[in-house]
Amino acid sequence: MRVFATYNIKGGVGKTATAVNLAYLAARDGARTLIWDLDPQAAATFYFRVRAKVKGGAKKLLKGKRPLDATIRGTDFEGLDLLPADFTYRNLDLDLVQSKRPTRQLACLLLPLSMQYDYLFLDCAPSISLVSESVFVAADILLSPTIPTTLSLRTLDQLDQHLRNRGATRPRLYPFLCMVDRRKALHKRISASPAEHHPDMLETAIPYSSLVEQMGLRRAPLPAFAPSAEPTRAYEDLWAEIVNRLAL
Amino acid sequence: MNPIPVSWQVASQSQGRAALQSAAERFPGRFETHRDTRATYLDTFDWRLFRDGGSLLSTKEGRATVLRWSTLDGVARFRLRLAATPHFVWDLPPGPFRTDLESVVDIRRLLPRLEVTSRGETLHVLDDNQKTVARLHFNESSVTGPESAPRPLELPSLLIAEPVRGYAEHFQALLDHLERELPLQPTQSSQLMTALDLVGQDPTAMSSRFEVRLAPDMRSDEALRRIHKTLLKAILNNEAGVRQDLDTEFLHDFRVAVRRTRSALTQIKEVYPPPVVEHFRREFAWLGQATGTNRDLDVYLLKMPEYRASLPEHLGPHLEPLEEFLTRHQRLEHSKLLEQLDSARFGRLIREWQSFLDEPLPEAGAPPLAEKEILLTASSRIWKACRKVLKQGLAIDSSSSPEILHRLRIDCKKLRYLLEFFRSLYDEDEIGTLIKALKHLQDNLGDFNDLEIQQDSLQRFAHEMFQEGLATGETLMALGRLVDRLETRQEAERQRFQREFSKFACKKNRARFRVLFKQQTTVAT
Repeated sequence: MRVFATYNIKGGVGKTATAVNLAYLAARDGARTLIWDLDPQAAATFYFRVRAKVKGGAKKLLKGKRPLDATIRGTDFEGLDLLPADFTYRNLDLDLVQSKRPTRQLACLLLPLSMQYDYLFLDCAPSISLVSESVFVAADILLSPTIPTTLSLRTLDQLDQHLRNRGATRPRLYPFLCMVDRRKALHKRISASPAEHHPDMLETAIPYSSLVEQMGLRRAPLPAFAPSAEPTRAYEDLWAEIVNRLAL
Repeated sequence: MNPIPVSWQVASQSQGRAALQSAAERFPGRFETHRDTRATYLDTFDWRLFRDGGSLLSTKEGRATVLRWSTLDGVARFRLRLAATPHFVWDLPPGPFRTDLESVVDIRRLLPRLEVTSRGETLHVLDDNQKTVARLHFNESSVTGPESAPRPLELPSLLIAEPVRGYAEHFQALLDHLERELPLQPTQSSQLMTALDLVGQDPTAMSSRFEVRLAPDMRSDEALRRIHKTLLKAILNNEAGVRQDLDTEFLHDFRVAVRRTRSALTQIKEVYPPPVVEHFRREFAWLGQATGTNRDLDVYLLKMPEYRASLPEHLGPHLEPLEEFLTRHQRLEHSKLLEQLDSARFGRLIREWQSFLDEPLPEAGAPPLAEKEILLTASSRIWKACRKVLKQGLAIDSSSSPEILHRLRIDCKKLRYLLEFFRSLYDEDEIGTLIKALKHLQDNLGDFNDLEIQQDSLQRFAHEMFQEGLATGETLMALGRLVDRLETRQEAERQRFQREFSKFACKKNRARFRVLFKQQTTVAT
């Protein structure tokens, strides 16, 4: 099982849209895919029309008293399952501190899933915290959506530096540009040569589109309700690029 | 445990619709209609996937093809979305699907075996969030099999309740409701099984393994004819695939059946009249030769990936001209082969052979062993062939020439064919052990011989390619390296021989041969 985490220190950059759309595309290709909504705001859970409720809350889940397996919900899409969010996830940091191995607990919980799924997408809440540290331990790849602005690129550098300090155990960082608005000169300039801003930056950029916002209205992944729209094609290209890079 | 789908056979369209309607009145939901969706069951000519307990279903979804590999009882194993329907395992992207599929179908072509056209309706049972929590499908389908049923045949209509993971309670409520409303028992059989029954196909009967049941007290000529009839059936079964060049195994199995036919003719002496043996021996030898070059080229083309992998990375691409050369010659040889299969000689051979095998058994004036019990004839033949192999093998040491090993290889093959022809006359475990032991020895001898031939052929190809202006310096260098590698491997096989032979000729196996075959022979005399 390959573990992706959509992560950015900043909020509102399209993390959830990325996790939901890429997980949908992975499942459509035939991969057994699971998405775990770790954000107490439960946006991914909402998109899939699932109730944001985990019996016993985060505590029982982290202690292994309730296996993850029993919490998984099938989405409306073949091959794609969801581990829903719960409002108690807001205390995930506290719960992790109290566990035996705070940063490894999450990775341990995932072990039993590794035979059931080809891909796991962790949709993370913004900020740097014990939860994000646990995610860095559990994930193979950090997908980091980045808006083409000076401040966002600065945050990306901070994340990069932070990961470097972790040494050998760090996940690989795959940043990519998103919410690119071609009418803005700065967006246009930065997205003209993505690799200039980070050596591992993916080529594909996700354009700004009101269709992505409609995911909340439609409560479905973008490719499911707008299969031939421009941003759908961008997500398809992005997923193809990620799969290609993984194969190298 | 997650629940699994439950199906019911429905007598009529109205009964199916009524079930859907009554569920829709009880549970909030949304209807979806499917019109004429087509799905194709893919499998190899010899139904390897089916015999492995699985089915591979290909459907069109938009412009893409979706493959679904399930067990015969409907548990999904793999799903894969592709740009086009694959013909061979190597048309799939690398990954667990391809690896697992390769272990079952190997190099055989995936052929469309049955086509199912379905129409129907689905009720998506929804919760307060309009989220699907269970599904109820009503499907009416028909099946066509390209070989056996050109016109569509109606499959029993099915009502299928499908669970969604994590919503077991909703699924149970749906099942409870249907149980109350429907006077039906759930059905167990899979769609593929039902469809196969309907078109009258039995994949279990389609193995390329040689199998014939004989009785020990049968007349020898009757038994030999039964063996030959089985082999003729294999030749005819594979002919169409050979003609269309669907995959390399058709020609391979065709040739094996021809070789076995000839081996049975010449090894089991004094059972058929001598003129019959002489005539058909010559004609089947001709057929073997006429198909040989095509087979050789097939083998080299199949070896290309292995050849490429055995060279340093920078030389691999320089083998491309070899592949082009082989492909071109293979096509040429295949068209020559088609001419032979269309020739009067081939037509006559099959006709005459068939009519000989169908003749009544001679009452008087039959050859000396024709009326003898087959158990005795077989035992004495096998015992002789076995002694020959043991005697030759024991005489081989590290100074023996490759020709001597080659001769032993041929005699091992003869012994193997005899053991397989008459397998059903002996204790299955005992003869099975001997066949397995012999097979290991044959692998060693076969590889040794094969590596020798490969070296010669590659050198010949290099020469021909050079003359045709196809070989660059790098290609010749790559071929040279390849020949070196093959020589090293051949040497290793040579080193292995003594060990392999001792294993085969161990005391236990020699005792097995004696007990199974020599004692039967002594009883006879």
